[in-house]
Amino acid sequence: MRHLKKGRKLKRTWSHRKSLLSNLATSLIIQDEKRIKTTLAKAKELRPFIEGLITKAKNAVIRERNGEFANGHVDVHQRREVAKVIRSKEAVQELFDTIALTVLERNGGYTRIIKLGQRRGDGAEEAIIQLVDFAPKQDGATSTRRKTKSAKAPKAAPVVAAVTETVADAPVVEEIKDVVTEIAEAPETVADAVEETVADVAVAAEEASDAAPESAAEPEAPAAEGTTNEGEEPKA
Amino acid sequence: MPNPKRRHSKQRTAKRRTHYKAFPSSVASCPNCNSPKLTHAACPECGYYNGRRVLNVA
Repeated sequence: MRHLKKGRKLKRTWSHRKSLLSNLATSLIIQDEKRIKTTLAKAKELRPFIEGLITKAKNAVIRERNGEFANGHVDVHQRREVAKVIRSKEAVQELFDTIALTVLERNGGYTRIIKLGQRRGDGAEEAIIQLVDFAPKQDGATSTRRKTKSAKAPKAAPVVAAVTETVADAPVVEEIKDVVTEIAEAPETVADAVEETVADVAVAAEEASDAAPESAAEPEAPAAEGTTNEGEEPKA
Repeated sequence: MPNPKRRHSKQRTAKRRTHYKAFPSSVASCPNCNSPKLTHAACPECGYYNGRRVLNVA
């Protein structure tokens, strides 16, 4: 049975393993690009190790910001807890002052492991482990991550405009036209509403974009549907 | 000392080893540069993985 036999020994004694993980974590934190190349097995062991430390640092920063410490004092206890395993003052400082602030919005999963294939010599499988939030931003990356709310916000306004146009072009009853004109005259209101209620608008915009192609084909009913969605937005 | 009672024939050995096989490594072509690369790994030629440049290849 493999009960309680989780994890890799990495052919090291407990103390040796502890040092190894501590050194790997320190390297990853100190390194400017926040990425290190190591073997796949070590990278996989390092991942939960360092993510725990980052979470500790992040939670400490959140508590500090909530004013749980008098006179702007920092969470010394958490810093010491982390310093138990990261025995470099610079690394602890970097973790709390830079990394923790950068990953504030991310709920775990701070690291990414990219396999590199086997190396010459001993055939060990190598990998890069990096902090996701420090990876250079690139276009065209196929993200498996769900679109965040903030990512959708800029899209919402153009969709609204497009739908408003389509609706305006369609031959509809006077009442609906009035509503459309109102919306057309108040793009700033819509833009403000978009910023304020990102989530609601994103949902509404999705519905609106669904309705848009239909309104081009069948002007009467779907256009009215689209307008109903529009009308709700400035209020929201 | 306990010893095998019967001779272990070559046939028996060979039969057991029918499942010892070498499998080809899973090679795919890189969507970025079309050179062969291992699946689920960064391309050694162009350094791309999942549409993202992850390596600086000279």
